[in-house]
Amino acid sequence: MRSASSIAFRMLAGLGLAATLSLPVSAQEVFITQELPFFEFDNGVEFHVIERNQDTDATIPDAFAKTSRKCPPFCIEPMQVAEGVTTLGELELLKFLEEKVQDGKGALIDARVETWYRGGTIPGSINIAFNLFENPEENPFLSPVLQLFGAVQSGDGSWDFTNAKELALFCNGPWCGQSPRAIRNLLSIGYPAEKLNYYRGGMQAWLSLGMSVHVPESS
Amino acid sequence: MLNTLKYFAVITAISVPAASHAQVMAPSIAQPQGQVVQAGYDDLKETEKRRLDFYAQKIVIEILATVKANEDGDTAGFNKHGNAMKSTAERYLEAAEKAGLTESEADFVFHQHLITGYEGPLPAFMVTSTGPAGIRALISLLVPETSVSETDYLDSIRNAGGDTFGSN
Repeated sequence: MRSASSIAFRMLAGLGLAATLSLPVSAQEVFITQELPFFEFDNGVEFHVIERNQDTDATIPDAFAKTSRKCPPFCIEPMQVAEGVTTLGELELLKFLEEKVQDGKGALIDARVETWYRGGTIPGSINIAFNLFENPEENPFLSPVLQLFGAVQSGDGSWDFTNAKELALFCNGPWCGQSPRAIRNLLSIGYPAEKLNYYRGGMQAWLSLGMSVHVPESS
Repeated sequence: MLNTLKYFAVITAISVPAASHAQVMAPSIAQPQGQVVQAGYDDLKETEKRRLDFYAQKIVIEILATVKANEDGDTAGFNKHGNAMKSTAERYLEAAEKAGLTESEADFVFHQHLITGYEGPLPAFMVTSTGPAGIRALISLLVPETSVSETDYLDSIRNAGGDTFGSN
């Protein structure tokens, strides 16, 4: 091995742009919080990393840059969507992923329709579109969804939510009524409010902070 | 052949901190193999495997993006992906260490992902005069001057095929 003094080390040998690359001691400069550079979790099927875009010149994607959509239907949602339902910010959502989703005690629900979900979603979420919760008393598609959440239906058709998962729902942003609507429908059939959470910021807030987006593989 | 690969990886890890740019290096150095408790990839928990695989795949993706940015003359993209490659490599090594893999075993797992996820000649920074560069070389982004053919790197990994962790 050649001695250090006699070796002319060079950075990224063979790459024309080598001279422009200046790497800091830690390549990561944009943390989630001062103590949390990035967030890792495993939902039992996939490993995910959530972090912020490291490009300090990045801006929100065009699809979420629009400020004004017709209201109705795209009206601003209240901070508390229903009594007893907890509204989450981004850090609380990460805590939910760590404490509930990772251990199988909770599920993060992307309540948007599939085309939006496939375009990019919050890592670790599953897609159950808001319209699957419509007309809960007559909707035959709702039963398997509730069973997936751990609810048990008795002979008279009523539901026991004792062992049901805690849920966090989101859609496109504070002006999106899809996840609030799904939450209200779940409440109407008895899903306990204390087991429901609402990430009001949705994809717009998520992207405005440069948080990681997961693009699901085509099924 | 696997032993040869491990040897090269350790040599790379030891040689890099000698550079004047050593301040960018993580402080730990590979321990002598005989003093390390060996853990094989196959012995890891599924969550640990998924974590390692995730980061290894991402490193390969960032290498590809770095090479592409270089070809396109895209300085911003080059820096962005170079930084991402470095930070991902750091996390990969940290994950491997937590899982109980030695650095050479961590390199081996990464090389498997490289073989399946990379096509075309490797950039010279991934090739050393003594053999294939390990993960730590990606973190340092420093290589000694070398005339080794770029294709030798992948060939040397492929030639080491047939050896898998936990098989000895």
